Amino acid sequence: MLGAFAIAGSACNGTISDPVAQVEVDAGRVTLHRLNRAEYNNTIRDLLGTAQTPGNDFPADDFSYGFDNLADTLTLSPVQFELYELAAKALVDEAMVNAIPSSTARFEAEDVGGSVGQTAGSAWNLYSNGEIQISHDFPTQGAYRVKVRAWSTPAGPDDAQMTLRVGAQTFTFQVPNTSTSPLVVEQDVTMAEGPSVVSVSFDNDFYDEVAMADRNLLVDYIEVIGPIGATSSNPLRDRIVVCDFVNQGDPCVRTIIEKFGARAFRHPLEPTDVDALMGLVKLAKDQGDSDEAGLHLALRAMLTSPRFLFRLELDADPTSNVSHALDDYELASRLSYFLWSSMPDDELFAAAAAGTLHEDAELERQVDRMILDPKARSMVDNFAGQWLFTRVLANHQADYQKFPTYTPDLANAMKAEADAFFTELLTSDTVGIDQLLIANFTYANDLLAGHYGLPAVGTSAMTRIDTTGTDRGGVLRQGSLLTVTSNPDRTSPVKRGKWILTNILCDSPPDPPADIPSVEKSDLVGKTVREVFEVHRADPVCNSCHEVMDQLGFSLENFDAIGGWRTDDNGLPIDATGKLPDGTTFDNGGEMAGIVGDDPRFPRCVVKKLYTYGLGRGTGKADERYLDDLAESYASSGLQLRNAIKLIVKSEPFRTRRGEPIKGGGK
Amino acid sequence: MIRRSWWGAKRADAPIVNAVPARNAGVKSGGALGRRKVLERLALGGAGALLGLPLFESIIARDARAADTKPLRMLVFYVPCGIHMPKWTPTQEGANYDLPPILAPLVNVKSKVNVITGLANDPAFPDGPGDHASGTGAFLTNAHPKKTEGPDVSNGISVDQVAAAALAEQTHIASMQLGIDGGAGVGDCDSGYSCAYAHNISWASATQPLQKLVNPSVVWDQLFAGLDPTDTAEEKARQALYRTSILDYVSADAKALQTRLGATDRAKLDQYLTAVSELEKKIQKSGMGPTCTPSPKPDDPGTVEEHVDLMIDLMALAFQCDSTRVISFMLANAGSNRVYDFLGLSLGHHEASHHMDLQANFDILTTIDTWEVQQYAKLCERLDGMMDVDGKSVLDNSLVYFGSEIEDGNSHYHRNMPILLAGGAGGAVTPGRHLVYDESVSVGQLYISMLQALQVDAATFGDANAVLPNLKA
Repeated sequence: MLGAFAIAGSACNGTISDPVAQVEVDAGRVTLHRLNRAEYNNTIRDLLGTAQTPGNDFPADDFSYGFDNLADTLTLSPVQFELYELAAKALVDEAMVNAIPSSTARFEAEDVGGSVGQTAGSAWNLYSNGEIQISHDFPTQGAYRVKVRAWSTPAGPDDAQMTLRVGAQTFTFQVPNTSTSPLVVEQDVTMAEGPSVVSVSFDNDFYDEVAMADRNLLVDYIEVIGPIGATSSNPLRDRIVVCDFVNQGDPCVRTIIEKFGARAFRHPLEPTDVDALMGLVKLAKDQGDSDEAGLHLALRAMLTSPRFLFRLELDADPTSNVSHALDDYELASRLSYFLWSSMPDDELFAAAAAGTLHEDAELERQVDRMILDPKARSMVDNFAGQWLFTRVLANHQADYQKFPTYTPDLANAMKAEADAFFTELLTSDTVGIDQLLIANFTYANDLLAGHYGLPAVGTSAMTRIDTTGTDRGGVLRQGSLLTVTSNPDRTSPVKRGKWILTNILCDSPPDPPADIPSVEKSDLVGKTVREVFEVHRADPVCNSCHEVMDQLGFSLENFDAIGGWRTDDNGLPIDATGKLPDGTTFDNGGEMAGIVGDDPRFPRCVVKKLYTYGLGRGTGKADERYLDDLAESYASSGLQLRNAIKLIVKSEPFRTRRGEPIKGGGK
Repeated sequence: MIRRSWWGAKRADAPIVNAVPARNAGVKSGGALGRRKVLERLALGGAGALLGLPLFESIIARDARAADTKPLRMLVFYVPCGIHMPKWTPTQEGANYDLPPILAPLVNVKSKVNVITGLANDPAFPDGPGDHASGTGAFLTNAHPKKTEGPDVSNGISVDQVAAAALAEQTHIASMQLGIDGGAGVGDCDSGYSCAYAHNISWASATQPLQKLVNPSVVWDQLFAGLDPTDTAEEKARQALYRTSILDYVSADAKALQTRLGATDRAKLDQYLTAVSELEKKIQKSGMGPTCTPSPKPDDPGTVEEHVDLMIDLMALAFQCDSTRVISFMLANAGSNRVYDFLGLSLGHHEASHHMDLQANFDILTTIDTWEVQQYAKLCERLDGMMDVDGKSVLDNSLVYFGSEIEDGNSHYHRNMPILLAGGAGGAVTPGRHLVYDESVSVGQLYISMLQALQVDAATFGDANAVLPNLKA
């Protein structure tokens, strides 16, 4: 074990490992797993093709062991279920709609004006033969209704004659009506898609100057209503409605439910499951509703079902302590929720149906495929987002008086840097996880490069840059982590040190003891942050942990509370040197990162984080044996992140589960 | 004068009482955009309400029989990180109490607010550090939260949920849990305490925290969704039948699955089944839905201030529509480090609350605490501006409780808690006084008295088994 040393080889190290031999072999079980908010959003995206994200408004999922996808921690409250039920209806309404919305366009004649005439109050007065003409863009081929309100001033022997032209179609009306009871005509027409002329003309002007008789036509408005009863193809609907149930009836409805259900439940349905859902279709029809309405009910029911909202893994014998292999559909979901935070795709379902998914070669092939799929972005958002704390950057508030350059754009650039950096580690088949702390490259745009004091990259887009010979490289010296482990106004070496211990070495310091004296005003005068903490740490009880934690954090003191470079704090020069209990020393953050990166606990910790996240459960003593084996294999595999993923998905805990013995029955 | 309400029921118009002053109309100190947006809303919504509430209407009795009762309500208003007590505690006891700077916003409702000094929440003292999570967990339970980060959280039932269980039959929503901050985060919550303690104040049982809703449009859905006013009675009945039938199907399926799952899985499905049956009850009670005209569904708030204003509107609306009788509200999560930039502050709240006796931090805390009381006062004035079915104001028939998880942010003390109690619970509480108790008196005694004032049986609560003396003069 190269570079092994005891960073926390003091009284602080609370980890006591029992001899593995004493622990019975147990690949464990994962509790019935409710979809968390991200998983819900992604699943409905992939199931329905929707852009709705109702999960954003669900109550936040609780987290433990650093992640919010742990089955035991994910509870279901009544208000959450109420939102599931609401979302199911909104999703089905959207997915099944095929009506083109009808609209009404009204053209006021006095606004449009005519070829002759003048405004007369709220109407246009055609005082001699002429027309009022508009052009209307008909959004689709179909039925429309054109409505005209008009009246006349009668004179002479005939009634006023009005002609309505809609495209090439003409309709003639007599208008004896006067302003006290205007004529409202409604003419149904069939139109092609696109712009067409709609006009109203006055055809039989009459004027007798001697008799003072003047026949005019006054037009109030022209309205175009429609399309009426038009339908269009809805790609969401086309995915669900795979046959013509209007003509084929129940057999087709059954087929639709079977196919949709197999994807929604991520497992083929039993005929009795389909029967139960057909019962809802029948209920609607018994109420005098259509097949369509019945199908909506069945779809809503599926999106409200525990088989959809939970990831169901069944035990043949729920009380047996003996591990059994997951079926390939259950395994497909474990894979897809691990790497995509979503349901399996067609290819995974096909491998499950073929019964080949559980084979080592097939699992490795799927991992290689899946991490290059855009959906693997979920590993960045959900795994790295929580492991590297990038998820909270968007909510971080920096002291805007001390750090006026901390803008949303800068925060976005920091997040983009961390995301792109992790994405490279996730997808690369050459760069290993050892580069996480010491990489000589990162991603930056001009704004971020300027913030770091690096040369401009020449673009506002994130660009991969070489950081050799600079103060940057690796997540410990990226703006994102440095910022979220700071307070709004100052750095927190303790938070930074604790993050390293917890997330890089999986050696969480125990909670501090009670009755910690608070920092007093006199502690602050004329000191750097480091000096304040050193005074405060004089107590040996505190020192046992902080000796390590703070030394790690102090080495990053050259990075301010928003990750910018600095050489002094409170007007005094920064001291970024450190010394660990075993005598190891370092002069700055870069050297510290190298030392931590050489600790053999680091790759094992990466495996443990992935294992926890991938299984969706916390780890216990029984897992240590598996983690040891996985870490050993991983260390000799070249340390590419995908190798760790492959090892985990091929491991017994990932591929098997067991029941639970009845309590009191012994293990 | 009789007119037809949105809901189809006939109701009498009532005279306006205690109109809310215009200065409470959600005036912004934020950026120009926020201000303009708010002004636009005000133009649409009328005085005092972002949501365009029909502000000065009276509460409508559900039926003639209910008209002569007084509906009793409870609302809890939580603020984080304690209070700067030297600028809070009045020097005068009794009815002529003074208003120190932080309490100054109460000026218009002072006669309806009790300032309660001295009470202790001893079970809130944590095991080791973790005062914010522990204090928030114990805030309404007066119980000792078990120190754990795992799923095995254990606390006590909260006082609002004892009230909700007793008042649930009166309305179609038993209780509402609302807040401003979601729960998203990373790492751990507070020194070994689960986020369940830090993010929730309402506990239906020792093991079931009730998550809060923070999005105004979702709160609106909870109040009004599925209740389309244009539907005929027949259509409403059919939609209710469909919803219930779906729930029957999923619960039958869940029950069938139970036999094929281990004990831990079954516990998860039990939560599911409980939730299904709660929703069924709500659907069955949909005839007891809103008695008022719902406002339009709100947009997403742009700023914290706008967010708080919308939530205050929705809480007032929930009472006005008699949708629920019990609400809890968290102005922020436990130990919030929110930066109040719109108050001209740049230091985080939690950080400033560790004040180290620095005057600069005292000033920051006074500014934040005053703003918090301002929000509470706004809500109280709104409730006081609505006339209840018995002719009194809604505030007169309610108890509106204000408090925090700790006393002082530096010492993390759980005694001498900062407490306000507005309203009179229909005469059972005499408001308008500064009441001072010995530091050994438990806040649990106050909770017993609050429950009894709401006509809920309670002889013991938390660590207490006696009422709080002198709550009624």
